Amino acid sequence: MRDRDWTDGTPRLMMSRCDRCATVWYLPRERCPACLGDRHHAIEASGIARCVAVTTLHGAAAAGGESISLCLVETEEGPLVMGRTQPPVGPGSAVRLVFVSVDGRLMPGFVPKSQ
Amino acid sequence: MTAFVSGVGLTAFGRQPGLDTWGWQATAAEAAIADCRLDPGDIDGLLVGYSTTGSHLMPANVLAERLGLRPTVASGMSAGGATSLAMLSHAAALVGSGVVENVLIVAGENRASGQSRETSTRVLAQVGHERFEVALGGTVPGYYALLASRYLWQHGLDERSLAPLPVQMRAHAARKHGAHYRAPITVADVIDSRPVAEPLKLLECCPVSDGGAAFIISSTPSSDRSIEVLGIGQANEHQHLSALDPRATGASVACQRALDGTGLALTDMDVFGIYDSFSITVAMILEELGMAPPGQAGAYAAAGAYDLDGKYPMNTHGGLMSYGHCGVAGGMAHLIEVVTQIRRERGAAQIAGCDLGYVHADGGILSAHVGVVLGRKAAA
Repeated sequence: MRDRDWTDGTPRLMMSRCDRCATVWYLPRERCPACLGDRHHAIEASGIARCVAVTTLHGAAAAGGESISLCLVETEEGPLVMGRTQPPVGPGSAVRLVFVSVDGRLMPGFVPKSQ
Repeated sequence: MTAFVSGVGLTAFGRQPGLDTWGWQATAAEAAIADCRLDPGDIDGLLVGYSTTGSHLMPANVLAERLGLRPTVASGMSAGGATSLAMLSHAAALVGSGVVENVLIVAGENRASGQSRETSTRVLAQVGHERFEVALGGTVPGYYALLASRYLWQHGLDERSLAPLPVQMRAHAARKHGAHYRAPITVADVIDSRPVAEPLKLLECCPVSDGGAAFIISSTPSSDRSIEVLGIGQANEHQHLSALDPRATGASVACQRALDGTGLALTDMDVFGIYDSFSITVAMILEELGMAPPGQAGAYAAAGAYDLDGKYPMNTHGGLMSYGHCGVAGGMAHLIEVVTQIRRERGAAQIAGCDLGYVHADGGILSAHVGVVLGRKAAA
């Protein structure tokens, strides 16, 4: 059973670590992507990461119509995580996790680490 | 395994109100049946790609009844943009193992006229993870834009670097009747077009079109215009963007599996059809297949590598970016163009000495890959 995380409104970024080979992943899986082992445990991410990609969606490309910015970050635990962001965060930025509420919905956001 | 593309049918793509999903499918299917010169009663297999405007539990049975067919094998298929060639792979296995003799493969949608752009965007965004990506506001242009952002950063490029690719696609479309967009564009036009999902501009994104496509896979040639399927390869390494390895998306694995057993290399191919939903899509596939060095697909396009007389003539119909994209049929157009080139029926846009071709389709976020080698047996 998966621990509660931001997708159900709990302000945590949760990952899974394989009991057999210690590989860590983010999106829920039954089996380890590296060794196909089926035993793993939940860990909470530190929130420290490096941004590797950023985009701002306009018009119809932005679900809902308003411009939004998304980023892809490489967490210090290893997995890539997608989240919300704003300038000046860009590829290469050291970032940290915050939780933001958008239309009553909790989402992970990434801000400059020093902020 | 021996299989032949014995007939093809491709409609014009564009904003063309008037036909629904089944209307486009039937139009393309009839064109392919006429092209293969078989009796319709000889078609004993039917595979139909999913449609976002005409979703149905039984897409093949619906179309079979409409066409008057009674196929032994009939089903729908869904693998995103790879469905086009995934259906070919399935059909080749069916005819190769003797289950059926002639499989009609069809797709078509009134994707432009049948629903709003917002609806199209929302439906297609499903290739992202519902809880962890779509919930953030993720959309297909957004996912590909993140790939582009990382690509440009890793290679020290800027937002102009990929623009020569849609420019080349449009130059090809100018020579193709039925293309959605045919007026030539320049790199400046691409850069000046409105941002859709930065760094991707409008002209780096394929349009949404109405249209349909069909082809027939047969166990034996139906005429001297039948083209042989020499090799098929597939790979499915991930689904979601965050699980994608940018250096190894699965594209090269699928390509190598297609070439294995043919005794051929990509450099032996005379014509290519490479999935080009966005500038970044085709750039990443080209580079992973070795058709450009890392970071240089745009520069190679600017130098003419993918033009009719270039080292790798590619998407000579204009690709998804300019011929258009109406769903599964979008990727089928690349195959049909490659077949037309090998048949030496491409008129003023004919590549000289065209005997062998490679077609590559991908679905999702470079998630599902199928590569197909086609050609004249004598040339292999």
